[in-house]
Amino acid sequence: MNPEKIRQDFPLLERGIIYFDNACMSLKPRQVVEAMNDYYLNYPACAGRSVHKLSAKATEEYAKSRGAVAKFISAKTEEIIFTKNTTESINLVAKSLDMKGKTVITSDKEHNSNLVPWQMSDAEHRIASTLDDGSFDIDDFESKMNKKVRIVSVVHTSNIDGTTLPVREIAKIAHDHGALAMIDAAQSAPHAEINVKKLGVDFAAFSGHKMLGPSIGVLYGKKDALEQLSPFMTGGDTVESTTYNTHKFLKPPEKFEAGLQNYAGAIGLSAAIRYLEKIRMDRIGKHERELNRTITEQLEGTVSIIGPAHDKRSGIFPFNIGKTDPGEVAIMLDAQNIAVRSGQHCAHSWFADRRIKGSVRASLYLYNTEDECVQFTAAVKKIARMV
Amino acid sequence: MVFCIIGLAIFGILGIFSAKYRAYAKEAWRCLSRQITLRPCDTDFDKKMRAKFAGKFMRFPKVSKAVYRAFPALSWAMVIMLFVSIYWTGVGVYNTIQYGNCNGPGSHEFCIFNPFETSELHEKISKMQPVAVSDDPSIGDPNSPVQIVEVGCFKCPYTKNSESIRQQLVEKYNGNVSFTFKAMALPTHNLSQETAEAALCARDQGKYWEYHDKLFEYQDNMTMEKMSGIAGELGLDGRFKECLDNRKYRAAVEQDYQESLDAGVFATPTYFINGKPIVGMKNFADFEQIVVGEIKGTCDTHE
Repeated sequence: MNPEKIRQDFPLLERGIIYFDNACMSLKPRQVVEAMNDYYLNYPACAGRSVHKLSAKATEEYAKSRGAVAKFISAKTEEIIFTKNTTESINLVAKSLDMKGKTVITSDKEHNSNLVPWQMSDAEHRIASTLDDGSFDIDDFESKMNKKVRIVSVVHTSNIDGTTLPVREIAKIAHDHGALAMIDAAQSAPHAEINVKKLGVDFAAFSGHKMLGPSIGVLYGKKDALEQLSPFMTGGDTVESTTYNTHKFLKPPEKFEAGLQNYAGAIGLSAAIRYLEKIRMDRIGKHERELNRTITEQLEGTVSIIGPAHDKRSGIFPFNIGKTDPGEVAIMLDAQNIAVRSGQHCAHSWFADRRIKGSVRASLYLYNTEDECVQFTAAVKKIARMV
Repeated sequence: MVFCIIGLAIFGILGIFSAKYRAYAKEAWRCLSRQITLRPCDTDFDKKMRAKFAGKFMRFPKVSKAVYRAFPALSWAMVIMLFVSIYWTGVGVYNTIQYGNCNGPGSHEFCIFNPFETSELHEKISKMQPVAVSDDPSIGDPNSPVQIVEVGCFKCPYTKNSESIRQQLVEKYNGNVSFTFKAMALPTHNLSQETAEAALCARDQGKYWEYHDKLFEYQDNMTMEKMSGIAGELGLDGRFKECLDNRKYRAAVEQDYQESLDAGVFATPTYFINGKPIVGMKNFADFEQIVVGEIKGTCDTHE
């Protein structure tokens, strides 16, 4: 893997910006933008509706995109539903599953998008704890399981500290108790190989915009799991036929894709997946962990790092400089042309529970380099001396 | 909280022109209003601004560190300056409404902004007559095609600031421009009468322009002793002191003042270029354009 060569596909990086906010939004390579432009310029038509050539081409490319996403996570094509983003994917499950009298279990480090939809459901909500080192407390989780649990919905890789939960084990325990298992894969799908069959999950949600693609979401649903859902958004493209009083739904995935879809987004995501697969996901993850090690070794002792050792934090480096406001640190890094995120990263519950105001989060990706990490650590040290 | 006050004032004004600053103004207002009501500021506006200011100097770590750490003190300084500015603006507005001049009753000094003045100013200028020039000091060929008369006050800062224009014009258009200085000793300026008299005393010994230049050079801290000191510096003998002590040119200076008023002069410096009035400071390029126009006009007429 050659980051210098990869960087040539990202024109923004030529401006000298150090982009370490990939957990929020990744940059887009030329190939993705060109694929989307190709749709908009050459066949900007509805897919699956009209019979003209442009529509046929759009239908073909949209179907190919679904196939590319399915292959990317080792799923079947009909198990892939396109949504607006991860949040909508999770909401689709939370609103479509009958939760009356049931229980849902999430972890204690969920993004608001995998917390609020369950708080709003009819289910009893239980929280499975993580340990002080950031790892998932499997015993605590198992002790909270019973036959009333309808679904276990947990983050795969945390956007707070980069730790990855033992999803395969969690899914097995859930299934043993007759529950479904869902993962929020927004932070894992862009950085590691995801095989939903091996993980054994029933649902997986992730977004295109964090993995070099445009703003589009994906919900993977195992066939028999999807059959348990009643769509919460209906209308055009979800039904086979209607009368004035009745309707007949299409089969999944169309059943859950109401209205005209984001075809350009799906096509762009497909291009992003091709790009990532060409480089290989295992290499990308390894590269990020190596960069994280460089940063960690340089800044240990200067800043307080949130989370476990660097090898368990994937490409995420969350930290604070003493009691300095994380927002101030991020602004001063921005003044040095380094883009990071600060605050509570849409995981207010975790920070509130630990009485932490927030953190500065540097998140890495395939186009980041050792040299950028050295510049970043120098900038952080400069700020630490200043405040 | 302190910076929220100054932030609200600055970004409130900038916000009129840009949505970006409007958002900052809203944050400042929220922060300020919460703190006034004894609730914590939840926008961290002052911290954000501190980081932004310090961030501007990150290339110079010591400066950046100083700005970051001294930010509360800087904020206080800015707030004090804000209130001082508000006070003086209020005084100016009051004077403008009450007396028609931002500087107060009887003042002829320049106001940057006077909403009542624009049409009045044009009217005043249109009514001006070429100022009488009898025995006022001149430089350049008296038969030059362009005759410039400057009506100025030795204690007026605007007259001082426009002095370089005379020097440049006389040097560049030697032979084409004649320059006369008529002192208008404004009563609002301390020692304006005395300096004008002193310059004429120096003229008795052929050192008018040298003395004239020195008066402007030392304008800010002029005293009677300084006037004598300048005379010594220029090698003027005892006749200068005698002239000044006896107020030899008192009547002449008062006459110049009256002649200036009669011509309609209401501010210094006022220039008459071949009789056409120009009020206030202008830059050299503006003058040059007029002078060149006058030279060409004269030649065309001669042809």
